[in-house]
Amino acid sequence: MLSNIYSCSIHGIDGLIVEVEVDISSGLPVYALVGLPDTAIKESKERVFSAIKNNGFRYPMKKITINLAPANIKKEGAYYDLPIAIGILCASEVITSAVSLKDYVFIGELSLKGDIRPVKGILPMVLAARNNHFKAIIVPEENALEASLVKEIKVLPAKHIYQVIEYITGKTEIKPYITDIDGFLTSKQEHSVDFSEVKGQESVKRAMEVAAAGYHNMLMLGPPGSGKTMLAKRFATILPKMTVEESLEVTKIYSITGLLKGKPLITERPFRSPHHTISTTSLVGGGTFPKPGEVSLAHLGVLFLDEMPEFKKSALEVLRQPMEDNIVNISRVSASITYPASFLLVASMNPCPCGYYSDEEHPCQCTPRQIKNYLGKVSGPLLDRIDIQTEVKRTKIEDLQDNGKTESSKDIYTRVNDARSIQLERYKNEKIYFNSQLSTNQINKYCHLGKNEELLMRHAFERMNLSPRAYHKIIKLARTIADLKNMDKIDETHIGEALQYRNLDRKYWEMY
Amino acid sequence: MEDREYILWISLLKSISVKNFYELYEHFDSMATLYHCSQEELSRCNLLNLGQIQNIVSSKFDGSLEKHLEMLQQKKIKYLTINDNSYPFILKNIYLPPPVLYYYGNIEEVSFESSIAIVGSRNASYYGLKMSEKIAFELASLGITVVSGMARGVDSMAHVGALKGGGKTVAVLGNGIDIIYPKENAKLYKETMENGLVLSEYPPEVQPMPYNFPRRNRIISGLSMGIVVVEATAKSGSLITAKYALEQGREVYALPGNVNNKNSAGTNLLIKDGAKLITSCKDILVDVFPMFSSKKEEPEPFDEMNLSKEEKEIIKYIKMGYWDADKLCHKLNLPINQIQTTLTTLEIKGRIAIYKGNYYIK
Repeated sequence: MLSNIYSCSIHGIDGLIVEVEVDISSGLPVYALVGLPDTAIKESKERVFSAIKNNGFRYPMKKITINLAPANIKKEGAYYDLPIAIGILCASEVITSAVSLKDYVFIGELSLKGDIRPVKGILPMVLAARNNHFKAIIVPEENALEASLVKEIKVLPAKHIYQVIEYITGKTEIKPYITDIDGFLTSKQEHSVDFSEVKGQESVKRAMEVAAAGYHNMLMLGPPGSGKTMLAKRFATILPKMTVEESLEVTKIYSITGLLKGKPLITERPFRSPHHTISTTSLVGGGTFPKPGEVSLAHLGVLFLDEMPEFKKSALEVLRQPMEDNIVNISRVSASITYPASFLLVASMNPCPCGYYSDEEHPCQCTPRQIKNYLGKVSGPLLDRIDIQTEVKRTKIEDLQDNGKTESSKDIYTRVNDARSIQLERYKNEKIYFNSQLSTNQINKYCHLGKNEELLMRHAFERMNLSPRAYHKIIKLARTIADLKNMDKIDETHIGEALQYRNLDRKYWEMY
Repeated sequence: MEDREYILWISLLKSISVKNFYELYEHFDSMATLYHCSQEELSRCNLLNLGQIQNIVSSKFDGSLEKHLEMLQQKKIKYLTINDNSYPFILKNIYLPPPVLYYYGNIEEVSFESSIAIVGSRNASYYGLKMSEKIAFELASLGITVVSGMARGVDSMAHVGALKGGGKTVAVLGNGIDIIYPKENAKLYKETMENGLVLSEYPPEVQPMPYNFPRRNRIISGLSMGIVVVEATAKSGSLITAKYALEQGREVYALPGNVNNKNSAGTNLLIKDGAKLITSCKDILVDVFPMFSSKKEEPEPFDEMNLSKEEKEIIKYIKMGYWDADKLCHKLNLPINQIQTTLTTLEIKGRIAIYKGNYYIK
């Protein structure tokens, strides 16, 4: 007899419907599993055998052939234990289904006792099931909350294989699991850090506000102990709110990597700060069976690279393509996969090898050549993609002891969120979301400069030693600054401020 | 062989110091005579030890002079000897002038009649760098040759200023002139060569060793009527130059600085010891051109017409040492974005400049 059961696998960050075909024919007891399974799937044989036997069913001592279709895609993970077990039981006519099995998707790992264990990557698989118009999906009970984020499909949580058998033979019902997804998004998580804890540093805080509002990449230059890392950690507290779609997209990535840690939905923008010893592969993703790297884990959030020149040059260079295209293409023997990687890069570095170049008290020991070499570790093309380059100075003791009011993250967050809404509205007919993504044509369209403003730009380029590549970045920044003030037109004050955020273009360590 | 080649030959001998050179020169009257002396004649003059004599005798036949001349030709390096007419007269009357000078550039075009040296710290402040450039610019535009040492910081800025002023400038190096040191000055080096001289008493291929520089300083002061010390720490090499200048009877000018600034400790010390305090180029000109009358200096009328109230405030506080946006923001209690905008307009108006991430009044 032949039976067809549907299950799901993960390809990239998307689910892929897999058909589990089980054929039982008379012959010597043989178990053949085909369709490019990995070791975990091959071993399912033993788990399925014990689970069936230990629940009082008869395991057919015949020739069993199982095919996982489509057969040309490599499959991994223990998702198929449950569908294989059900398939064998149906094919050997031990049970007869009272429901139409082609409307169901089965996912779950089995224990020898028959318990259904949780698996990784539930969310993208449920989304795939819904998109392929299945009526219901049977998932491990622990994954039910995550699965229930998807609407328009019945999520049936199961704890034990016996429960599933009872359900398909029509003996009992399983209650669908329902959650209120909007509830998750409205309950805002409190941050343990706040910008009001940082005394002084007004110019960097303002630069961060602009970065968050327009999604501009940012580089902080400063001596050791000036508070670069402290500021960066607080950057997450002013990032704009995530929409439902954004939230689901990020959750999908965390789901397949198994990083959800009990949370059903990621509602905060991710903040990733990999150590500088990170390998190229773990930064962009890869592996024999490709997995998303840090750039994808920071999707729609922040990737913070502390001490950027300490990173391997090759690791930094691979950031260029995702920064431009917002995706990563990974090609391996087993698959060619595209992961989303639309992140905001925040980087910090010292201005010179000894770190004290611009420090007023601590003399710098470096020669101009050393400084040039040090800054050269961050390549020009990479710097080109960083809109804001600002300087962090060491805070003076008076500032630390000053009890004056400093702005809290909440105030900044409100302004950032408003500026974000303006951009979403403005670019609703474009394929972009933020000012930082503006192309040259779009700059001409959306960032019109008046006569005075153009004159100011020209004077600035003559007087301030700016490199030509800074031109469009300054306009983009000015656009964001205008948005923060809710102004439609970019005026001179906006450009004036934007010009202060392009430190490295100004060759500020050279006199001639 | 010409007379100058004999001088070149003996200057190349490692065992013969400059002092020995002049003793021998006095004794033998010309280096050609020395060249043709036998070993006995040499030992009879009582000026040379056995090692030196052997060195002289063997160098006649080992072809080292020919090789050296060939190298000079190949690298297009010119040289001057103490007997040449174009050897700067002003340098001849110092103690132990270098017998041979190697140079790039056109020596006929450079006048040492009224030349001023500008020296100072390698690790100078914005003030030092800007003042060096300014003084050099003004001197050069009046046709005065600016001499300096091509080092980082003040020296480089002196050359830059002189070139900007359209005048001649002379760089005296502490290494062979075919070696560009410091490397980042490659462009400046080339421009100096075209608009003045790059010269050194060290033969080509001599590396910039620390002990070469103090000796080189005597040529810097020797080539000038006076030296300006722009910025120097209490232990700076510029003070060595000032010491040489005094020995050679040159004028020493010093630019005063903040008492708390380490970079000005040396110049303030010089002023205390009697160096002439200068506040502008005019203070030097009085000495160079005696007919230049030093009227009482009018303070430059500060053009505040085009500045807004905020801009004036910011300039006021930058002068008081509030050098960055954060400090100004605290002091003036204005929103940071307003400060940033005002700083930009001031920068564009040319009132302030950024250096090492801090703002300074121009």
